[in-house]
Amino acid sequence: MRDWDAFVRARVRLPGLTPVREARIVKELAAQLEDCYRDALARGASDAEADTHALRQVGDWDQLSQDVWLADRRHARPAIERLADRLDSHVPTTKGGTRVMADMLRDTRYAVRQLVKSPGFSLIAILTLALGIGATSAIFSVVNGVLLRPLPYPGADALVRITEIVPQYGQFSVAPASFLDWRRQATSFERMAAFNAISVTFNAADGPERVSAAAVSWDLFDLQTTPPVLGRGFTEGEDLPLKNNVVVISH
Amino acid sequence: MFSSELKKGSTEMLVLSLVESRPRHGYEIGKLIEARSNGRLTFALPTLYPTLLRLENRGWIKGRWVEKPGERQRCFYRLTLEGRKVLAAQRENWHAYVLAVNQVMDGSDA
Repeated sequence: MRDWDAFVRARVRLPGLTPVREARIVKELAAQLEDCYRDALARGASDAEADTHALRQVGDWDQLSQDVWLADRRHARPAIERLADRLDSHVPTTKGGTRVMADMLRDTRYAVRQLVKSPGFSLIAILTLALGIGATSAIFSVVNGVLLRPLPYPGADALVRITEIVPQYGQFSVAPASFLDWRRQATSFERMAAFNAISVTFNAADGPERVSAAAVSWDLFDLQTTPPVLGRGFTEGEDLPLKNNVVVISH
Repeated sequence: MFSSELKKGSTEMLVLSLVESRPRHGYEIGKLIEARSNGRLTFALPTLYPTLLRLENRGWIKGRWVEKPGERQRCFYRLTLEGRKVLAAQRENWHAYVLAVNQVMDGSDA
């Protein structure tokens, strides 16, 4: 007697169904064909006649496969698994340069299968990775901008910021008098300029507006060797009282 | 004997009715349809098997693998509670439909 299971397995095509479901359908179809064969034998047919009678039960295996797939598609495997199968079917089996690609595709398919098997774990792992990558990217952006990327001034590596340490209170801004003394007496620095971030009220045409500003010594732009794009910077003495009504507008 | 169009609408109802009294496997269902209709109704495996799958997926029948001594394992289908309700409704509809068709075909003009 023919091996009906092997016969059906070779002909039915149910690529989208789970292996368990496909095995069940193959087993059941094989059982029905074997029943048909045995029934014909019982009615007096020869082995060959019974075999032919059973074979005639299915004329178009492709159509049967399609009808079975439509009837049973709720048992279909996830689309991503079917995609992994399609990738795997295109993996070349030759050795040489394509071997690395073949192994990569095979590993990718294995990874996809493992992820699909444990969706809860996969989701948590992906979210954790996303959070970690996002946080790392954000931290790196800050570190890069603040610490690693050089200041947009010529000779930026020679620029230093000086603060004052008050024993009782710790780090403080430099007192104006201290700045003047240091500028006059210091020999380790080529030049010193002062910078103090403030906010001022600007009387715009449509009403007063709070504006971020900085009170600076007249030679700040000279120290940075970065002249304004338009107009001029400050000249000496324009940081003194009664002469300090000069502004440089940033953009 | 009957066209596939005529048979199409009744396949599911016939299968449900045959597993109403006791569980049966797919080949037995096909043979029983042929026997009870005196050969006038035949449903080939490619028609019957997808029908069994559809009915099972809807929850109207339930398959169970049984192995009898000396025989291979077969999947026996039985009617579920939901299937009984559906069969009752289909039976009623069928009788009403046949009655209506007969009235139209046998009735005289007014």
